[in-house]
Amino acid sequence: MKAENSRRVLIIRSSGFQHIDKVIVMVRQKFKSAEISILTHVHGKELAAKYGDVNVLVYPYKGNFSVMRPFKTVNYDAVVVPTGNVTGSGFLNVFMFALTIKAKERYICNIKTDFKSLTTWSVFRTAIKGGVISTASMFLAIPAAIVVFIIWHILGIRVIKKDKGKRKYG
Amino acid sequence: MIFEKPLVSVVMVSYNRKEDVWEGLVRLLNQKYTALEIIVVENGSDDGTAEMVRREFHTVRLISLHENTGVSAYNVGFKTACGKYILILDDDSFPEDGAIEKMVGKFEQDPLLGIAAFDVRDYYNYRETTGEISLKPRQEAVSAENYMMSFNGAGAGIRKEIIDITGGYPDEFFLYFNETDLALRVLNLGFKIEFFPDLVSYHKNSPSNRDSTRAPFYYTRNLFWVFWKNYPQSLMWANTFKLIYHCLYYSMEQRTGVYLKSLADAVGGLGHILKKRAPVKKEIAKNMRIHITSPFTMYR
Repeated sequence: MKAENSRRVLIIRSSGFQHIDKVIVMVRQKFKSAEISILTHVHGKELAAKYGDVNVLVYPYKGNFSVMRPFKTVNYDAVVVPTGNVTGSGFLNVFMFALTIKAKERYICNIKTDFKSLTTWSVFRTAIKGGVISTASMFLAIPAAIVVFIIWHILGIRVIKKDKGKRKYG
Repeated sequence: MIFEKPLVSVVMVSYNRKEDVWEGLVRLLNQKYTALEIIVVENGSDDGTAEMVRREFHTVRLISLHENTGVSAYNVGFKTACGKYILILDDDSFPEDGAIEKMVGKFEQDPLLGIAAFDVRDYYNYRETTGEISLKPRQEAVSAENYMMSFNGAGAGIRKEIIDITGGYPDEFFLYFNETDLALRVLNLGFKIEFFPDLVSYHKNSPSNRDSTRAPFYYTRNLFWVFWKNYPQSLMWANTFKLIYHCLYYSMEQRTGVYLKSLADAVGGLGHILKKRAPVKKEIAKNMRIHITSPFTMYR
């Protein structure tokens, strides 16, 4: 059996540092004496160093956390995904990414620093719902973008006429 | 031989946060750096902030506006600032002791440094996140390799000459993404924006307004405007399409009309935005790190 103080917790830096400041405090309370690591993009590396005893791991990609951009790590006892809102809406990519990291348990830590369990099933359900909404959104986005494109050009021509061709709008 | 310290203008915009403004001003006046000009632009508060500043801080320059003009109030303060450098603060943020002196040092060492971005920390975890406990204090800028970042308006230094050239924040934005808009124009001038972990400010960030539609509305609308004002055609259209898609997606997912309202308002202001359109270099737009989904992650 593993000793309590050998537990390893990984925090994925998916929200702003001001929220992470709070999350770190809560993680220290929830997982007492655990070894805490934080996974952040390169620009967050030095900023995360302020947490002192927290190991800083750098996600070696520019893009968002994604299953398409996996990160190899050791096994963790817990992975924590901070979300900048209450429900976790908009963080599906991070939830899916969190599933690719080997861990015994996974949690969401929301803006109010409430911990909620993150399971494969809950992520799967969110992903299915997201897939349906995504398809509908794609079909609707095309005509909406065309309308914006037309308005843009009508107004753009007016701006050019008003400025007597002096200003470029493109 | 005595060298004169360059004057730093601190510009703070206040709106109904009397106690926070009081604390911020007390902390500013306790800074070691004394060549300070503190400007408070009072954005039409009705909680007596202006009276408090006038009564208790005689050395602070107070500019009272009659209504809340949003980020436009910063521009009023910027215009009257006499300093070589400007420190931008929120009414609920303040710099750590010694941070202003360090900030001046960064600017004096690097003439291409346009904006010195602070590490803005959560005030309510002050003890846990103060620099003193950090085991690895760093003084060098954070490397963001091949991409560019904006900055946090709750703690950032900027050269006054840049404000004079760019005009400061976009008046029409009212709130949010104003930093990104300015950042793009600063980078386009050839200046750098760098984060310095040893420049620390504290911000009283509160999650209490998270159910409000104000933040998602302005964030979403202004992100359209950031793209429309500053991005070259191809990147602008790609990002516009993505953003429209996200507006639709999150409207359905979160069962809210706020994102569609933002889109409508963005389109409504398109005529004005087109007049201000000045695309930045493609490389800058391409490498600017903007989370296109961020407006949709702060509501519900």
